[in-house]
Amino acid sequence: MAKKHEVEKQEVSLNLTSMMDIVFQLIIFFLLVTNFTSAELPELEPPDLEHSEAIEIDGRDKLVINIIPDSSTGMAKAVQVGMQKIPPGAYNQLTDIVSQVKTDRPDVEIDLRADASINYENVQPVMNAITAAGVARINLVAYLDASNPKREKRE
Amino acid sequence: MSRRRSKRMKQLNLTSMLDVCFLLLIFFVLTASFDLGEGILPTELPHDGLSANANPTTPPPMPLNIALRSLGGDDVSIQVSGMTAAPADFHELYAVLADHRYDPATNPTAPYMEEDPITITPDRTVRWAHVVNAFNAARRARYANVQFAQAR
Repeated sequence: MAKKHEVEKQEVSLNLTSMMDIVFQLIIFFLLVTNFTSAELPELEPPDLEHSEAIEIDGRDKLVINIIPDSSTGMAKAVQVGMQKIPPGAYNQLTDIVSQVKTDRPDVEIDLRADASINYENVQPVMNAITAAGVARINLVAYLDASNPKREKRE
Repeated sequence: MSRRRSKRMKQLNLTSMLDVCFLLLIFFVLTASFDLGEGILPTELPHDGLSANANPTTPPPMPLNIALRSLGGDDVSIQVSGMTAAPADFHELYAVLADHRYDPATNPTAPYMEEDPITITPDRTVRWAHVVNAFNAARRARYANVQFAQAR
């Protein structure tokens, strides 16, 4: 009788160690491959180039100007600078923002991040507005080269 | 009695840790995106008719102009000034531009220097992807001074 009582007390437990190993491996994998999107980078498709010459530079001070497409028309729906959205056409406002940022942060680089499907007529006024703010040099955002994404880095 | 005790295995209870790990795993699976990273192509904006790299003392015989014309939808025609054969795609455009760039070792008779200006003149309705592809082809052919013209 006493023996039976002892058997009932024994707990059945799964050995989870190997499962934990696999789960940790998966977590580390996804942690490394995840690109966290920023609110300053709205979802759009930059140009995917043949043998892209685009380079990746870490740690620079940048102001990203996004041109968000209207998926049905191929025209620009809005221009987003940092967190601020500007309706298409209000390019004086864009010039003011860029001028102000340039004054506050003289070393800031301007990145023009436009959707690949947008017509050039929607990008040109944005470029003109940036020029009007006294900026002579900008960066065009495009996908890196698929065959060699870490091709080159500028100091 | 002591013998029986020593036989028992001491085990950590990993259930709650596994719960947390699964939550983390699900979060990362859902948020992961396998898109290529984005990079930048530095360029000069037109400023008072000249880009910062322009060298007005040695103008090229005929400025290189790449005209892009929309053929409707995603199609585009590429025309390089002074050349009768139009490149079929941007890889061909790169080949044409590279073939016309002077290099003392490999291409000593080519008419254009690395610093000669190249202007990209797109139609209003040409897709931005094509414009940047033309710019990329010129940069790939090692031209340093590539500018954008106002849309036609």
